[in-house]
Order: sequence, then C-alpha cells, then structure tokens
Amino acid sequence: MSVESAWVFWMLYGVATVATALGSVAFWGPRWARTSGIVLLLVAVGGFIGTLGSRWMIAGRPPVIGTFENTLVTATLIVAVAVAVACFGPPTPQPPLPGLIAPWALVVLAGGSLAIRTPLPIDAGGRTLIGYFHALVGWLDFALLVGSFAAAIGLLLCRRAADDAAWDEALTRLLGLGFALLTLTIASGSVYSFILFGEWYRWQIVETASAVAWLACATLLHLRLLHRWQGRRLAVATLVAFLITVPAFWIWAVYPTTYHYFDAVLRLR
Amino acid sequence: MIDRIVKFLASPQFALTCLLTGVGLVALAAFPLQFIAIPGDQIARMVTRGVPFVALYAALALATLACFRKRWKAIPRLVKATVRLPNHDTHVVSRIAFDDDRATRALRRVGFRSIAVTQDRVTGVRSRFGPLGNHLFHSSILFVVGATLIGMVPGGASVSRVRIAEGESVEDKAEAPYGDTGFAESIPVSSFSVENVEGTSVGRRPATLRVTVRDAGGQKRLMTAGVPWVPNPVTVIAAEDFGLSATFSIVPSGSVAPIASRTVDLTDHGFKTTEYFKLRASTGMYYRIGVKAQARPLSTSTPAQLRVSVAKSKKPSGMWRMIAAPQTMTVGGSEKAGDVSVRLVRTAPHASFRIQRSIAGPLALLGLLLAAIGSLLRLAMPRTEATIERAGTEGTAVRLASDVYRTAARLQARLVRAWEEDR
Repeated sequence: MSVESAWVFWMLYGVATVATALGSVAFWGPRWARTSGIVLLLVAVGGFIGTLGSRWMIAGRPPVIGTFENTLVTATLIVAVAVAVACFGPPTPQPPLPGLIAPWALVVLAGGSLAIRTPLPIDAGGRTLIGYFHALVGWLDFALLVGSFAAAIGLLLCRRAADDAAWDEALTRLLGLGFALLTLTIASGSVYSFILFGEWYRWQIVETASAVAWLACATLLHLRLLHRWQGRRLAVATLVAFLITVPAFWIWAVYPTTYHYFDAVLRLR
Repeated sequence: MIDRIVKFLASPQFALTCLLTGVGLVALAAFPLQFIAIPGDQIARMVTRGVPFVALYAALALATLACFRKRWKAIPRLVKATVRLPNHDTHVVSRIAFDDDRATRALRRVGFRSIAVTQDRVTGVRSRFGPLGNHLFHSSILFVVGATLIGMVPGGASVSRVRIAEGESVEDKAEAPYGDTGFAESIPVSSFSVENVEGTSVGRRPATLRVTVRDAGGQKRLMTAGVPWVPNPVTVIAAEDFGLSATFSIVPSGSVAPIASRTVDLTDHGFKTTEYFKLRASTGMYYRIGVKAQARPLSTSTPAQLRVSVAKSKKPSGMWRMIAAPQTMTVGGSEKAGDVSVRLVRTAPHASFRIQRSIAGPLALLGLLLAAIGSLLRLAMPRTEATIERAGTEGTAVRLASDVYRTAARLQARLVRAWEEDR
C-alpha cells in the first residue's frame, strides 16, 4: 500500500465516519436539522464509496475479501438505507427511523476495525460476477434487516399509540424487502456454490445459519401477514428474529471452518 | 374428510408449525455438529436425510400443495384490474371538489394504472400482478423439494473429476479416474480435448484460470473458474484447478520398448511433496516412481525441473527398496535406475475438470429463480389500490391500501399532493 493511497483511504474513511455520526445525531433535532442529517448521510455515503474505491485501487480487486472490507461495504449500505428511508420511506415520528438506523454503521465499522486490514489476495473462484452479486445483495439485505431491527426498536420506544401504524409500516416494508433479498442472496449463493463445488447446498455453518435466518424471517412474515401480528408484539418478534439472522451474515468472520472464511479471526490488538 | 385434511394442511397455523419446526430442527440438529467440524456430507447423512428432516420436507410440500388447491381459483381474481381491497381507515379528505378528470390525472401521475371511472369515484391499481409473486414463491418450494428428492434417487446425479493436460482429450483419461466416483460412469458428454490452460496461483489455490477446450463439433469453448461449460441442460463441465503433469516411461535394460508410461500430477498436494505411482514390469517386478517438483509451478508457464526417485518391490504392497538415488531430470532426459531407465517424456499444464450430471439441476435452478422473482414481486412491488371519491358535497376523499403492507403513507401523501396541485 503506497503512502499516498493509504492517506486518501484513511482521510475518506474519517470523513465518512464523522459524517455518519453527525448525521445520526442531526435526525434527533428539529426539522431543519433533519434536512442537514440527510445531507450529512449523503456525504457519508459518498465518503464510504470513495473509501471502497481507494481500497479497490490498493488491493487491485473489488473490496469483498476479509472482515475489514466487508464491514466497509456493509456500513456504506446501512447509511444508504438510512438515507433511502429518510427520502422515500414511510414518515415516522420521533424517534426518527434514519437516526436509529445509521449508528449501526458505526457499530459495524468498529467490529471491522478489530480485523486485519492487510489486503488479502483473491482466488479464481472469488473473481466471478455471480460472487460479487451474491456479496452485494447479501450486504444490502443485511442493511435492510438492520433497518427493520431499528424500526422495531423505534416502535418499542414510541410513546404515542397513534404513531404505531407508521412504525408498523416502516418495520414491515423493511422486513419484507429484507426477506426478498435474503431469498435472492440464498438463490444466488446456491448457483455460485453449484458453479464452484457442484452442490446447490452445502451443509456448512454459513448455509445452516442462512437457512435458519430464512425460516425465521418467513415465520415473522407469516405472523404479520396471515396472523395479523402488529405493534409491540411484532416488534419484539422482529428483535428475536434479527438476533437469529445476524449469524448468517457474520459467523464466517469468527468461525474458520467454512469456505466462506476469508481472513484471520477478529483480532483484538 | 379429505376436505378437512386439505383445509388443515393449507392453514396458516400448519405453515407456521412447519417453519418453526424447521428453525428448531436445523438449529438443534445441524449447528452442534457443524461447530465440532463434522464434514457436511456426514451431517447430511446423519441429520438432514434422517426421518425428521424428510418428514419436514414432506410436510412443506404437502402444505404448499394444499395451499395451491385451496387458492389457485383465486388467482384470476387477485390480478383483476378492478379494486378489490377493503378500504382501510387511512384516507385523507381534501376540500377540493370531486372531479373525475382531475382524479384520473392524479392517479396516473403517481403511477396507478387500470383506472376505472364511475359517477362519484375513480379507482386505480398499481403493481397489479404483485399477488402472483405469492404463488410463484410458494411453487418454488415444490420445485426445490422435487429437485432434492430426485437428487436422492440412485442415478439422479453423478460427479466425476478428471485431469486433462494440454493436447489430451477426455478419451485419453477415461481409464485414469480420480475422485469419489469413477469416470467410467456414463457421462452424457461427447469428447472434448484441452487446447490451452492458463493459470496463476495464490497459495495453493488458483488465482486466475482460463481453459480453452474444443468440443466434438470442433467448436472452441472457454472456461474460467466462475464460468463453466454447459453442453446440455443436465450436464455441467467446470474447470476447478490447474497444475503441471509429467509423463514418464520406464524401459528395461537392453530393451527399447517402454514397459509402461504414466502421467503424474505435480501440483495436487502442494510444493515439494513427492508424488508416487507404481508400474508393473513384464518380469513381474513392481517399480515405484517418486516425483517431486523442484520449484512450485506458480503458473502454467513455469519450466519444470523434477526430482525423481525409483524403488522396486516384488509385491505392490511389499517393502520398497530404493534402486537409485533421487536425480534431477528435465524433459527428454533419461536416467538409469538399477535395471531400468526412466525417461521424462513431457510436461504440460493440465486442468482439473468436474463433469457433473444432474437430472434435477434445471428443476433446482427454476425453483431458485421462482423463489427470487416471486419474493421480489410480492414484497418489493406489492399491489396497491387507490380510490378518489366524492366525500359530502364539497370535499373529496383519497384512500389508498396495499395488499401486503396495508398502508402506504408516502405514496398516499404523493397522491394527495398530485390531487391538490394538479399540474
């Protein structure tokens, strides 16, 4: 890594992180501050995209290998989902949904900062369009599920019962999109697995965790759509389902006996 | 009685029971085994093909079939252009007097189609075919379960792995199988020969891999690690790895005819690991040739210098006696080892191919596609209906409902704005 590239990388990383933090806080303020929150989060998305581009140049390949790079991609998408919710999502009263979603990008980045940051090589199996698609859809899906998790927290924090419907809609839409993308992630991963290993499904820890996550989200949607669960009951169920879902996305970072394992275990320095 | 059973199988409660049982079974049965690093195929044998899992597959398939039986008649009604959802409480009353032309324009601007105008009411539908996604998604379960069951039938699927060097064809390798199933097993693919193998390594895995083969019709096919060759819908030929092959021949002293020649892969087990192969001479003696690459071939262009040792035995499983000290050889070189001479005939890059036949493959792929399309259609593009109608003498009510999420607050706000601004 040249000194100049590293400097650009860390500068953009710093800008994006600070903009995410300030943008998250701004949503809790008055109306004008919310607008500046959107602007700050857009700056953060731009900063993260620049960080990823710079990392791409440093590593000489798309930044999809290793915990550190994947946390960068995830943080970008979480902030992007927060912006999309602020601009196109159902309007939610206080506490603000984008302000509840964006801080999770910082949590993810903090986790990534514990991992090794040396650019790791990519093998031929990783250099495939379907592989990049699978990773991108997977992280976007995680960002949406983080959104539904944040909406569940918002619903539980919401003090006015009259606002429950708005939170309910936000939660269900993010969950529905998250489930659709989880299905697409598993389907693309299945095709990818067949191309690389000749098996549509391999009983490995990541796939098992994904199957459990998919069944958990499907259960939650059935509860919502067929059994008409809503409000606080749905929020609690969403929190439980999210905790079941997290290992599907991150277990590879801490459990090495899987072909999804891309780098060393998260290392506390 | 049958109706009652179908009704039970098609009920939301039964679907929910299946899903929760699935979560429990996978989490309790598969996770602990994976944490203690039991290989996937053993887990599949021990757990996932066990009675509880097969019962779960069957229950899922039955529930889906019952749902179809119960609900397929409703499909035409679901995608009808006319408004069918009950109006929810979410509506906005505007002070602007009702005007059907203005309402039509407002609905069109927000993306509503299939607009119907009656005397006091204009309705529109957005994402009319969204409900079809539900049926596509659930039918995918049947395809995936069907593909899984077909894959379990003997003969339903087979995998062979073969290494073929540049200049060789499948037929050259038909008697030299490796992998868990023999290459002699019938593979529905006609001959192909390898023209060119290019690769580089990262650690012990290929970093880049490009293989050019020529099929029976003389057409060139390019394969990479991520792009296999699919000669027909049930066959996939994938290039998995590359390496360097060496062909040796052994000639007894005083003879010109080689007793045998064999090709050995020098890169399969890593750098500086000796590969052994055995040959039987006409005298009844067995010879074991040990070959070790002097430098790991990091790419297919790396020249080969090989360290060769020869041992001899009366029985293939007996004690091997070294008959010559290890010697360095290059292509074309010949070294005397006891009563034989060993010649390195050629080295050439090879590709490792996986030739896979799976009758259920297209079914599984279709199932996955339907699952992805169905879920996106249903959840990302829900059917939304809007009604703009006269409310009292002076006002207008704007109502909106989504069949998945019930409310659509932002869309409703846009519709109200479109109605009030009417630009």
